[in-house]
Amino acid sequence: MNFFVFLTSLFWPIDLALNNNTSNFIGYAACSLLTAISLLLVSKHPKLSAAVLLPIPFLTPKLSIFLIIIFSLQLALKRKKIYFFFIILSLIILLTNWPELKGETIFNLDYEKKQEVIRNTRLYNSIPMARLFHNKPRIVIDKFNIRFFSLIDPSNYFFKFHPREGLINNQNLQKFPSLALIPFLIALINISSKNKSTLVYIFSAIIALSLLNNFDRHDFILFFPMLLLIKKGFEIIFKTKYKLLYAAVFLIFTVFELTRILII
Amino acid sequence: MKKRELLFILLSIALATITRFYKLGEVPSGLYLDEAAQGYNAFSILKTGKDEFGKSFPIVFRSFTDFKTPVYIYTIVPLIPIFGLTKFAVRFPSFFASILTIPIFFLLIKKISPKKVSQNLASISILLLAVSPWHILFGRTNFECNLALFLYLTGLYFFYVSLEKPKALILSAIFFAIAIPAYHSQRIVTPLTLLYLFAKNNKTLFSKSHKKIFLISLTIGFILLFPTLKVALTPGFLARASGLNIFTRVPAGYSDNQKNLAGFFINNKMLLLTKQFLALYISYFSPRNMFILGDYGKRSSFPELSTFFIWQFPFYIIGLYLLIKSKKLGEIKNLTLLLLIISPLPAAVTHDPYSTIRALPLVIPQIIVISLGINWLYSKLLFNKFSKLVFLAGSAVLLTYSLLKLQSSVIILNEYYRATDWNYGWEEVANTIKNDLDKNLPIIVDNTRSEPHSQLLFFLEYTPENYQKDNSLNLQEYYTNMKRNKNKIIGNITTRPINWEKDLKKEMYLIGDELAISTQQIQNHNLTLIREIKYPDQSPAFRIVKTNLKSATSAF
Repeated sequence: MNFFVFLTSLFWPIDLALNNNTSNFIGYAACSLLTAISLLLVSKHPKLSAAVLLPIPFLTPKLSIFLIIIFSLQLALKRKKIYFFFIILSLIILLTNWPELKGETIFNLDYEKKQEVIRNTRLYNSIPMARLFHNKPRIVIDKFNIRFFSLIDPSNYFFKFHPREGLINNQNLQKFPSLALIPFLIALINISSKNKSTLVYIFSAIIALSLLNNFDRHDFILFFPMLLLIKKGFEIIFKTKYKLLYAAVFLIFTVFELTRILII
Repeated sequence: MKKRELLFILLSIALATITRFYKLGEVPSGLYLDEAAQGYNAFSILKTGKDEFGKSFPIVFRSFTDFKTPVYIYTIVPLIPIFGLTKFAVRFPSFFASILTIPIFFLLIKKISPKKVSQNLASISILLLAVSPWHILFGRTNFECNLALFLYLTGLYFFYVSLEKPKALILSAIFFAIAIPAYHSQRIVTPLTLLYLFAKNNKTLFSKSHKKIFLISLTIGFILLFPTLKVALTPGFLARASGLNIFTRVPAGYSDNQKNLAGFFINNKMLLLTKQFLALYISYFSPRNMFILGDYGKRSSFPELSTFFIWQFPFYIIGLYLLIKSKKLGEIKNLTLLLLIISPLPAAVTHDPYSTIRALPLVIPQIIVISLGINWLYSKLLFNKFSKLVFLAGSAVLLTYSLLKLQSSVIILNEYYRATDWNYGWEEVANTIKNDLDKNLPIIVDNTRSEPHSQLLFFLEYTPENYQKDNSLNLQEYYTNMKRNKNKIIGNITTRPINWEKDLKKEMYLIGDELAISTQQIQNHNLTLIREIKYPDQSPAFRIVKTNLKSATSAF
């Protein structure tokens, strides 16, 4: 089974490395590595786990929001005062990074969208109704929704956004083998309290990334938590009578997809 | 039936009628060429018993060589004497079928759900279906899929009834047999459903009480399907399937640069097609498609509205979890899972992403899933009056918001932004031809970017006998000749591309869109502008001009 998890783990890093220059890749990989270490430490060494995340905003200022969200969630779930300290710390880091960050979030309204609101408002006879559906906060909400639903779309991770690639600015990487979708879904159905931390990391990352104008490549912080879920799914599949059939099909398909990543 | 159930059915039917009947036939104000073709073929059948090509009561309608399914067209026929050849008449069967779907959906859920949840689940489901953007879109416009869905659900309902009352099996067979030719995707969905129903209930069907009725029903079903089966292997019948499927095209991800041994492996057609099929199939369950993007087609979606309302997303997730985990849902679980699995199949083998027309049966299980989620929340809030009140108030707010959103997208934004897609303007063109143009002069209607003959025939109510005479086809080749003739003759009107050099030498009218007849061309050729028809956004839709012989000779 470990071999299948290993095969699955190759996709996203290789595709990301091949589609970006080395220095960029190292930045994204470092953030992902820190997230992975933090997740591994979270249950036994919560303080250390939180501390490990602190360098992320210095590597990628855009991910400053991620820290605030994850520490807030940890505080809400675990009620440990230490997280309050980490929230304050990450707020300071966020403020420090603000000049670099402010233009990169969905709160930065573009001229075209504002014009669209004005144009659409004129089509209605009733001003309150026009205002209900066309207003400036709506621009932000719509942007958030588009990003959030893109980040929870299985086709993003398993099918390079096919058949609806190109609707957002994205490298459309093959992040996991297509057939890893099956263990991923099985893991989601069989989620238990043991996976709570993994879910917290995934949820925090998705919310933080949804607040960015362009989450592409920064979403690599999701790599390890998602891999953990897929691993759980593999464990369940490999206990069933279908394990050989699944293993054979998975192997053929995954080698085919990996070769495509390496050659094309 | 309990009073509360009746109230829910009436409320849902009322909501469904409001959302589908309001401005039916007026919005969308354009009439798409397929709608017009269906309407005119029905008109032709009514007047002559033959379609536009002179074929008596076709099994599939040749039309634009796309071979339209017959059931919808035949349902329009009796409506024309009542409503005339109007947009209302061609859209009415879709509307009516979508309204009838509501009580049938209720009865079906009620029939196969455990008593504990049946009333709530059925009530919530029909309420959601009544305001479903997906179901409304196809209930306001001329799409065969909605009628087919109604027939299919009715067949299903009567099948489940027949397990206790065997005679209902005959009704089930009739509805299923009409559903199959009613829409292309039902050719896959219905047989797969029948296979499941047979596998699950074969003991009952072959029991003493059912055996005779079962055989009679099979015979009736076969007789009804016989005409369809007779042409099932003709190129015409298979036209849609062969033209749209992913298997006859270069698969997504094919790399032209890899021709060597590695290319043989990485361009492996079977693996690429499998992957493409999986991606297309999964897209029908993607929350991004369901709650944000909707259908990619401009006529199969409304602006700023997806197939489901975004507030339904959390309930979809909860409902999915409950559906998979719960062991107390009985047959409703099996049927919902079956429909979830088979409904996207016909759509997933075509190359279009998230085609809601072809996957319409999917609206049923996905609404059941959302209803399961809502019912779960309701059951959690049952413990005191206050929380119940909060639930009801929340529901009222969401329902009001949903209705306003529908009004905004369906009536206001769609009319403004999607007029071109709905072929707006041909009614005005036809009215001008009828009322303002000299009937002795030839008219050329440019068809470079469209095939407007169906709309002209429709709005002019052109005599079918004359059209059949002037646009004849060898009827022996009706289902087999796949050649498509775009140029048509409708009395003094010819639809073909404008030939400036020749056409300017005769006195005639030219009709075309902004690209066919530009303001520059009007000026250069000294054409007389008779009328400019504009889209709701005031951009030019069509121009009707008259040639000027004197200036034409100097122009060339």
